[in-house]
Amino acid sequence: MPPVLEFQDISKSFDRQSVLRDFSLSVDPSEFLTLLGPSGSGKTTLLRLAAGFERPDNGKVVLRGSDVTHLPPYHRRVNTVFQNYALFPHLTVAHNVAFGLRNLKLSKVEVHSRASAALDMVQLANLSDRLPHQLSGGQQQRVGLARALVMQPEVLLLDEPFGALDQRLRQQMQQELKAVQRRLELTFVFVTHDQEEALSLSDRIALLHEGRLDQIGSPDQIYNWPASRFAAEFMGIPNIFPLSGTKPEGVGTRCQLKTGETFLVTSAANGNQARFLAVRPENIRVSRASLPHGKSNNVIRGRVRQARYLGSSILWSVEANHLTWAASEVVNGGTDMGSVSLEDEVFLSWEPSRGVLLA
Amino acid sequence: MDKTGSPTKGLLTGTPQRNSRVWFLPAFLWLFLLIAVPLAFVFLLSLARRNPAGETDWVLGISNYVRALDPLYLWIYWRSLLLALATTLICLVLGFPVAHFIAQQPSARLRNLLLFLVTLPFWTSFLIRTYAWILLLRTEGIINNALVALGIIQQPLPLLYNNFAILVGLAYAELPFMILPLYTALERIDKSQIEASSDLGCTASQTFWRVLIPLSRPGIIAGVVLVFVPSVGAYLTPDLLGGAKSIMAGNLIQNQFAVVRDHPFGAAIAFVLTVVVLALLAVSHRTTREHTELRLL
Repeated sequence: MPPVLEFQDISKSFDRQSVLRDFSLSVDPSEFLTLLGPSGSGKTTLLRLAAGFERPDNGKVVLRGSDVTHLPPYHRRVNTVFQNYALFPHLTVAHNVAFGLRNLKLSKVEVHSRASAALDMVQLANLSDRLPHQLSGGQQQRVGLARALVMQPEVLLLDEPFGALDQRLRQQMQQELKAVQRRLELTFVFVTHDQEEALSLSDRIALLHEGRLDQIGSPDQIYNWPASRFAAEFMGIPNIFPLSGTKPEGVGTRCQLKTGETFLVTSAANGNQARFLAVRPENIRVSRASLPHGKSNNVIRGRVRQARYLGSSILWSVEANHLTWAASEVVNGGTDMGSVSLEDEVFLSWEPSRGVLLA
Repeated sequence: MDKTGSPTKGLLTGTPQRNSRVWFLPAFLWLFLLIAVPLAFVFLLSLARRNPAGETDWVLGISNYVRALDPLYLWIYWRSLLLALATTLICLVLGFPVAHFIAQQPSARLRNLLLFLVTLPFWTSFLIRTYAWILLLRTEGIINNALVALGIIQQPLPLLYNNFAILVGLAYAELPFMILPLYTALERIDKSQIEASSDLGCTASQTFWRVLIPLSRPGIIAGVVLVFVPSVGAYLTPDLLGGAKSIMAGNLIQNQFAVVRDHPFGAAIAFVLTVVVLALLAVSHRTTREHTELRLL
C-alpha cells in the first residue's frame, strides 16, 4: 500500500543551525509510528513540517501522494495534538472539540453527533460544559485529542502529548491512546524522547540522531538489535565495548575487544564493519561456578563491584579485565538477593546469538 | 481570602495573613478622598446658583440641570460622545496591527525598543504636539502645501478648525493608550493556540476573529476605556484644533468655569457628563460576558 505520509530529502535549519539533513521517511497507513530521539534530534521539527507550521529549506512533504510542502496548515488533512494542550481558554470543552468542525460546512446535527462521539471516545462527555482551566492536565489532553480526532485527519500528529503528566497517568493515557488508534485504524505519528513509551506504543520506531534517521524498525528490532553506538546507548545498553577487529567464524563473527578478549557473535548484522560490541545486561548470566568458554558460550571472569537493587531484578556491576560489565539478574521477591554477592569472583556468560555488533 | 478559600499571603512575607483587609485601607482612602469626595462636592455645587455678582448662592435647586439638558447642550454632548467613539474606533483599527506586530517580534530587545518608540511622544509637551498639528493642517500648512505643489489638489483642503482636525488630534494623542494595553494582552497569548486554530482549518482571518480577538478582549476593553473616557471630556484638543462649530463638552465646561464664571452650571454639565460616561461603562461591562460560539451546539 502506498505510504500515507512521506518526507523526501528534507533539510531544515534554524539560525544557521542545521536541524534536519536530507531526511527521508515513509509512514504507512494505519500504523503507529514513533519519532524517537534526544532533544535537538529534529523530531519535533519533523512533526511541525508535517503539520505545516514550518517549511523545509529543501525537500518535500507528501500526503497521500500530493505535495503539501507549501500548503498552509488549514489546507492539510492532518491534525496535531500539542504538548501543552493548546486548548482555547475562552471556549467550553464542547466548543473546543467542535471548533474545527465549523470549518467543514457540516450540518448542525452532524457537528453535534461527531463532537459527542469524540467526547465519548475520550470519556469526557460529562464535562462538556467545563472550561479548560477547570480541568486537570490529563482531562485537558483528552480534550486536545478529541478536538483533533473529530476532524478525521489522514494523519494524527502527537507532539510529546504526555510529557507533562505523572507516571501513572501517563501509562493510563498511553493505553487509552493505543486503544483509540487501533479502533479507528488511524495513522499516528508520535514524538517522544522516552524510549519506554516508544517501545510500548509503536508499530515502528524511527530513531533520530542529530537530524538524521539513525535506524527504523519494530520495537523489538530497535530494542534488541540497535545498529549504531548511538542507538545502543539511547536504548539504554550499558555494555558497549570498542573492537579492535573482527573475523568471520563459521556462521558468525569472532570479534576482539581492544582489551584483548575475543567473543563469538552469531546475530545477523554488521559483521565486518563492526566497531563495537554490545550486550544487554538481561542476556548476561552471572554465577560463581566456572563455565567453559567456547562456541556456545562467551564467558569472562570478573569481580562484583556494585549491586543495584531494582525491585524485580538486581543489576550487577562486574569488573573484568579493566572493563565494567553490567549483568541483570531476576529476583523472586521476598528476601531473594541474587545468586552472588559483592566482591565475589564470578563468571559472566552470554550466548553468541545475543551479542550485537554496532557500526 | 483568595478565590480558592485559602488565606491571602502577605506581599512581603509570604505567610498567610489574617487581617488582609486592612491593606485595602490606603487604596480605599485614596478612592474616597480624591474621587468620591470631590465628585460629591461637584454635585453639591451643581445644585447651587450663580448670583448676579458672580458668586455662588447656596440656594439648592435643580435649575442648572434643567438648563444643562437643553437641546442646544444635548447636541454638544451627543457630538462629544460621537467624536470620542470615532476616536476610539480609529485608535482600535490603527493600534491593533501595531500592537500585534510588536508582540510578534521574537527579539525582546526589539519589542522593548518599539514600545519605547510608541511612548516617545509623551516625552514632549502635549501642547507643543498639538500646535504641531496646526502647522500640519493649516490652509497654508505643510500638508496642503505639499499636496498643491504635487499637483494633487488645486485648492487647499479645510483640514483645520473642524471635526476632522479634532479627530486627528485626539486619535494621535490617545493612540499609545490603546497600543499598550492591546500589546500586553496580545503578548500573553500562547502561540500554540494560534497554531491549533490554523491546524483545525481556520484561515488567518478566521483565526483572527475566532481566537485572537476573544483572547485579547481584556486588552481591547482596557484600551477602549482608556481612550474613550478622556476623549469625551477632551478640552485642549478641541480648543486648539476645533472651530467654533465643533466645541465639545469639555470646552463647554471650561467656558462656564473660566469665562462665564457660572460654576454651578459648569458643575452640572460636568456631572451630567460623568453620569453618562459611567452609565455607558456599566452597560458595556454587562454586555461583554463570555461570548462563546453558542449558535452551533
